Amino acid sequence: MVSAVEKSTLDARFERDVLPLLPNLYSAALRMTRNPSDAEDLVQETYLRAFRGFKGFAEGTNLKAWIYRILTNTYINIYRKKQREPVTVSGDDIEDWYLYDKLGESAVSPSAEASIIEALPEEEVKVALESLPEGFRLAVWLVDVEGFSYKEAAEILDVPIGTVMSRLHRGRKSLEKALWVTVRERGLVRD
Amino acid sequence: MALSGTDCNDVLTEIESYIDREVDGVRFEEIEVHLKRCPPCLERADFRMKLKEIVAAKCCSETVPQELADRIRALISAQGDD
Repeated sequence: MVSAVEKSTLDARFERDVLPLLPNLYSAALRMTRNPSDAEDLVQETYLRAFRGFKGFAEGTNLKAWIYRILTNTYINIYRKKQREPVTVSGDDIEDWYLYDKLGESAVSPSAEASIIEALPEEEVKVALESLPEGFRLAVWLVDVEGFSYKEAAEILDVPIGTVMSRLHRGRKSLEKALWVTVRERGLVRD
Repeated sequence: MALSGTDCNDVLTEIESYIDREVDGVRFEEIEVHLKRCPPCLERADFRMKLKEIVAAKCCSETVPQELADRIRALISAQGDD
């Protein structure tokens, strides 16, 4: 049993530490579900589970990784059943340095290569990220957007570190290819 | 090209781990030394790094619907009263 005083401290700590992560979690949920209404439900369910499990969370350990793990598990348990994806997409067929080389072939000067990607509207970069297969998308999101270490990402996704690295590598290549398609469609490079 | 026991191929293979700060201190230094002396590798490393920054910057700015924020607060205070 938790005493009333302990409980109010716990509630206050939850409000102080966990509620401010809402923008991160909502953004992550959007990238996961690719749908605002599902993202809202996912975040709400995550907060509910987190609140109930908060007693068991040891202060001083990594809170952000902890709640991301809840988010990921909730997503996998509830939403993945709805949208099964083929596991055939590997990213292995994409060359390393795909985007760098493509931009280079289009006579973009090396110093300007990144600015072409920078010129893409946010929405298009999000769509490119969302086009990745789930495992890749989550690895890229956790490491590149949220800045988790490989070890943290491995714990959140409950896979070995080597799997994170491999998904990250292939996910980045797939993202480069998707970004290249966008760059071409928008006519940002000459053929 | 062999600098600090690292050639371009070795460095480029590890460039993602380097950018993600996932190589140990000694290896990190070795890669830095190579990049300082090798413009083609540096260019690729810079591109990778900028790409990572751009993706992070463009993908994280979602505005939370006020109604969702309210709903979560309400949910938590209701749970808290149990």
